Amino acid sequence: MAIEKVYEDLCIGCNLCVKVCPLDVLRMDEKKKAYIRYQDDCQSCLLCEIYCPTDAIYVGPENPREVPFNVVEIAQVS
Amino acid sequence: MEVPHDVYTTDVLVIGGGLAGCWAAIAATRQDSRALVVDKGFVGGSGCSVFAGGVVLYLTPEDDPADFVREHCRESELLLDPAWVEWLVQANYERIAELDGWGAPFDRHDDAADGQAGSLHRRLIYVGSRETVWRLGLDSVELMKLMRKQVLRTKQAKLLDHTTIVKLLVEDGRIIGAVGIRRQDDRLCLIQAKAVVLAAGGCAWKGTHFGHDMLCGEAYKLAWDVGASLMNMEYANGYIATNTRFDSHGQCILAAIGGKYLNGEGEPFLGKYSDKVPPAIHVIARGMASEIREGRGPIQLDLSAVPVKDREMWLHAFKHIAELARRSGQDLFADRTQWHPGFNGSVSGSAGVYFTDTTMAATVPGLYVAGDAATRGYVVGASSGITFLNLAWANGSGYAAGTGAGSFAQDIVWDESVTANAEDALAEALRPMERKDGLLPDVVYGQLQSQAMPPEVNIFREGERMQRALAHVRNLQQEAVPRLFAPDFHELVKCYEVEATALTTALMYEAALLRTESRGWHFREDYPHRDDNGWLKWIVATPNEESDPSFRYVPVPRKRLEELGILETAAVV
Repeated sequence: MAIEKVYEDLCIGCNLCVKVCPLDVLRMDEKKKAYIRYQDDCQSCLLCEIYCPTDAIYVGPENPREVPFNVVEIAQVS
Repeated sequence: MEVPHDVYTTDVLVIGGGLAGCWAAIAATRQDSRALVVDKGFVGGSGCSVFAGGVVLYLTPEDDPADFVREHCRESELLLDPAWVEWLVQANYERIAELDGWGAPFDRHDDAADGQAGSLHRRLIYVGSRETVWRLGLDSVELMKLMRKQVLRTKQAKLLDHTTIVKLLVEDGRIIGAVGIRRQDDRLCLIQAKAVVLAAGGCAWKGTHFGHDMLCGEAYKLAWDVGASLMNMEYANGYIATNTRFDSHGQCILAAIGGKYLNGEGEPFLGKYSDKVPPAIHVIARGMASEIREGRGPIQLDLSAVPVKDREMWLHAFKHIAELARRSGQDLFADRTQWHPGFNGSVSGSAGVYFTDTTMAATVPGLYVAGDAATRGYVVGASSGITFLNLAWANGSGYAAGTGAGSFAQDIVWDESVTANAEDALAEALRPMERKDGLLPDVVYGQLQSQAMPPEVNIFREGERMQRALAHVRNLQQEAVPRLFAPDFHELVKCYEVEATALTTALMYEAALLRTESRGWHFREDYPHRDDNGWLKWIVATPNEESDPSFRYVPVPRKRLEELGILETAAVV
């Protein structure tokens, strides 16, 4: 699910993925490499991969969110 | 206390860097105004236009739009204004022509033999019953890269990425600026502006549709907090079919080129819900949900009958979706894959900030609206503009709003005292970081999703169920929102997402409870019939002094619908 990996050996520290991620999932570490900071917010939109000039990112496709389908259950849970 | 912040000044502040916001900035500079485009994410890489389904409406002045307008009004269940649709056809054409001149990544003829090589190559693809819709394929990621570049080329526009506006500042009843969060710099910002264009999109509740998780209704909240009105809030409940394994889109095209939805018994079922092939988007979603609800799920999509050339077209136009499908181990065209109604809220539906003319002015001086932030009620009514009309709307309304705001700003004399009263607003913006024992925003957001997303509340609407959801949301607004806690600036932004989505959810159900009929996305089990005598009117919500909504009704122009021959002149009760 979500973004899975930034390959540190491939990352050139260009910061493009950090800038382009609409949900602020990626940040730069002290070694000037991108890393996954807020994985739970990833929506698997692939923009970071598309923009990455060295193919250093892999995004998994799965959507971990459940669609609540029964309002009675929901009302009880909440 | 001195709050760490940076100060920016501009003539027109554009909030949201999608297609509408970029056009607004370009248009504002053509009125000799400076523009500053801010985006919660990356200007040109955020909002829904960069993730759009790769097609836009394209009618030229040589086309007679009458058939399209008539069909479109029927599909939208008459809750719209044909004059606005006609305006949009022309406004969109002008922007496409300009984009064409910039070499935009549209589908183009490659056949030199007919002398058209390089010219725009539009296609007629059926969507819903609309057999008259000429559409132009495009690469939305590349288009938005181009838009970012074109904004910067104006020399009069600047960009500010990862900047979330959380409050508009008003003085003497007029917009004078905004306070924002720069989450990657751990700072706030204060922006002085003579006018603001709200182009921050709709509300998708972080639902299971592709690429919309940043759209949380912030534009509605910003407008509401300064007293602006909202329209069609009952139509914030769009559902588009999405693959169950990953957030997808592109189903409208798949359904149009021969894709068949099958229920759990392996039977095609949409014919039960509509005699149109394929049915309107809201009918597909409701049909799927009905089958699941009645024990005939799950729903599968069978694409085996799609012709090879259409497969190639789809795989090209939706290459990122195709890649996600591959990574999830699915072959969409070889296997039957599982789909369900994926909630994407007002990205499909037409809820948004109210305006009355083509300056796109909201009901507060200095505030303008564009794209999905503006209600699409006049142009898509009770249905959806997704797949071809919403991008056109971003083109047309974005440029119009930028022109309106840019022109307005020219008449404003700069007041240097503007920042004087901003200290409180800056301090207020940081409040969620001070509540160490508070609630994390993800927890509350999940509660909001559970009240908005279930098809049993929001596809099959019913008075009591909506009352219950509304009461829950009102309770969250009163009890949970004031206790939101942000451990860092990233989470601080999400606290404001919670506030905005809570407001959107509440107003959605308030309006939906008022509309005692069924029309388009709004289907009520307790009022299952369409009522053209009583309900050819839009619902407009305005905040009172306590920020509670008061509602009024604006009639749809019946006369034009009658002239088009799609509304009986003497309707019988």
